[in-house]
Amino acid sequence: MARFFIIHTLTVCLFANVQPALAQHIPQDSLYIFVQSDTLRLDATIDSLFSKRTIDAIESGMTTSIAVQFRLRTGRGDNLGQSSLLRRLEHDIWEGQYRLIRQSARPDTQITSHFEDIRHACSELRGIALAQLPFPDEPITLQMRIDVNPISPEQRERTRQWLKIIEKGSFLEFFFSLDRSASPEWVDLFRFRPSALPHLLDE
Amino acid sequence: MYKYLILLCLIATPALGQIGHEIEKIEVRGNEKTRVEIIHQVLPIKVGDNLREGDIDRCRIVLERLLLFRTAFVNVKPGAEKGKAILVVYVQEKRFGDLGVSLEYSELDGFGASTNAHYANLRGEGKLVGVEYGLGERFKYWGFHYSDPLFLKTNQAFHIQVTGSSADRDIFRNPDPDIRGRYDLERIGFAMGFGQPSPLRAYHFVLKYAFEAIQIGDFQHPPIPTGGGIFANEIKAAVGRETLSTLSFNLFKQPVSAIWGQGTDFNARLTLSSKLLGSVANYIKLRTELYRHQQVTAGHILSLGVKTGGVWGNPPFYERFYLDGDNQLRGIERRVIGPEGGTLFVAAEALYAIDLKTLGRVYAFAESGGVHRSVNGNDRRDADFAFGVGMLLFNRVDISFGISTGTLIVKSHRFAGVKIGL
Repeated sequence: MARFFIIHTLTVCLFANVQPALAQHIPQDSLYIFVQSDTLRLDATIDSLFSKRTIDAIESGMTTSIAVQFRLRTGRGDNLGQSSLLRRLEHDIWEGQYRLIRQSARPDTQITSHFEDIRHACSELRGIALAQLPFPDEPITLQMRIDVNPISPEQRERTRQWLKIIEKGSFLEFFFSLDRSASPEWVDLFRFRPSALPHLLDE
Repeated sequence: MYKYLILLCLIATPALGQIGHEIEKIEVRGNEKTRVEIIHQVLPIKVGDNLREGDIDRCRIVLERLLLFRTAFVNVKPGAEKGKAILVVYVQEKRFGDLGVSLEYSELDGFGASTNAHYANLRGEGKLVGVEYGLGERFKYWGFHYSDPLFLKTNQAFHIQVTGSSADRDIFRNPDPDIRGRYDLERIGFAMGFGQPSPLRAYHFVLKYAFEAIQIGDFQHPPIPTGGGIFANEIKAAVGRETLSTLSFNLFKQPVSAIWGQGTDFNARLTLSSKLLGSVANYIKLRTELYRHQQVTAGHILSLGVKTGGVWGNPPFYERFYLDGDNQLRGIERRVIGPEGGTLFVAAEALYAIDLKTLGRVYAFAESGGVHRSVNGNDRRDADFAFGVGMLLFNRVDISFGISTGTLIVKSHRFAGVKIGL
C-alpha cells in the first residue's frame, strides 16, 4: 500500500497552485508534502537545476555553489520554518572527478566520475524536513529559492576579503563592485492547509 | 544562508595545469556573442605549444584585460593521447559593459565627480566603445573612446579617442587671489594609437598620434606683482587658440604597484612636436619613471623610485614639467618647487610600507624633487627634500604628511565610487 498520498490527492484541498514558470522548477507531479513524526517533510525533483552556462562552468573545472531553500509562510507573512540545502561542487577536470560536498551538521562528500550522479544527487530531494508541527490551521504557502553559481578562484579571493571585513564587523568599505546578479527571489511553490496533509506512518 | 554558502566555497582550491603537456586543442565554453577565434587569437599559448608554468594565469589575465567578461577561467584536462592536454577556457560575458561613478579629489583640481560607461564586445569582436564625463571645482572633461584589441585580426591593439577638457589654473601659488592670478586652459582634440597588448612580453610599446586645439583664455594678471612677471607675461602672450600635433612613443612594463608584491615598474614616453605636423612649436619631450618594489619581510615592502623629465626646443609653457598632478610629491605642496615649471625635472622617493590588508597600508617616506629652467640665459634651479609618513586607505586614498615640512597631501584622488559590470 502506498505510504503517502501523492500530491494530486491534495489538490482538492489546495487553494491555489501559484508556481510560476522558472528555468529551475519543481514539477507538480514530483512534489510530495507529508507529515512524519510531527515533522512536515517534502519530497521533490528539481527540473533543470543546472543551466547550460552552469554546466559549461562546471565542465571547465569551476567550483560551483548550489543552494536550495524552502520556507513556510502564513498569510500574515509569519515565517513558520525554513530548510536549506547547501552544497559545493568541485570538478577536477584533470582527474575527471566530481566532488559534491554537503554542508550540514555532519558534512559528507560524494565522489563520482559521472555528472549524472551529481545531477541526481542535487535534484532528487527526499524527506527534507521543513518544520515541526503543530501549525495553525490556516493557509500556508511553501516558498522556494534556488541559487546555483559558479565561483572562480578570483571571486573566492574577493569574497574572502569581504568576509574578513564583515567578520571584523566595523569599518565602512567605500569601494564596491556589483559584478553579479542579486540573490534570487523567493518563489511561491504551493499553498495548503495543514489539516489536509497526509500523514506518513512511522515504521 | 549566503554567508554559509560563500564560506562553503572558500575551501575549494583551483585546478592546476599540467606543466610540459602539449596543447592539442583549445576548448572555449560560455561564450554567446564573443567569437571563438577572438579568444583563440588573444591567448598567449596556441595549439601545439607545451604548457609552461604560469601559462594559465597569463591566459586568464589577457582575457580579463579585454574588459569583455565578468568571469574568465582557464584550466586544462587530459588530451586524447598521453602527453597532450586540452586547454579549457570558460568565460561569462558582460551583457553590456561597465558603468562607473566616482567622487574625486586632487590637490590640483579640488573635488569633483566623474562618470563613465563603455559597451563591451561590439559585433562579438572584442571592440569597446565608451564615454566619460567629469565635473569638478576646477576641472571638467568629457571623452569618447573606441578600442579594438585585435586590430585587423592581428595581435595589435588600436584605439582612438576624442576628448575635451577645461581647467581653471593659477598663475602663481598663493592664497591671495590678487597675487595668484588665473587663466583657463582648454583642450579639445583626438588621439589614435597602436599598441601591443599581449602579456607574453614584459614590455609594451604604444605608438600614438594626437592633435589638440588648445585655448588659453580668461587671463587675469595678478594686480600685486611678486617678481614672477616673466611667467605671467608668458601666459598672457599665449592667450588665444593654438594647435599641438604630436607623435609619441610609449614603452612601459605592466605596473606591479597596484598589487601587493615585489617587482619593477617602468614607463618611458617620448613625444615629438613639429610645425611640419601642424603644431605651434617644435620640441621633444621625454618622461621616464622607474620603480622597484622589494619585499623585505612578509607584508613589508621597500619601494625606490625615480621620475625624470626633459623637454628640449621651444615648448609652450603648459608642456613644461610642474611638480603637481602626476608629479605631486608626498610632503611638499604642489608648485612650491619651481612654480613656473621646468624644462628638466627629477623626483626620487623611498617608501617603506606595511600592509594592513583590506584597510590599505601605512608607510614612511623620504623624497626629493627639483626642476631646472633656463630663462634669458640664466639658470633657474629649485629643489627640496621632505620626509614623513602616510597611509594608503583602502588602497585608493593616498594621504601623506611631511614631518619636515608640516604639509598634508592627498595624493590619490578617487576616494569613493561604484563600478557596475552589466
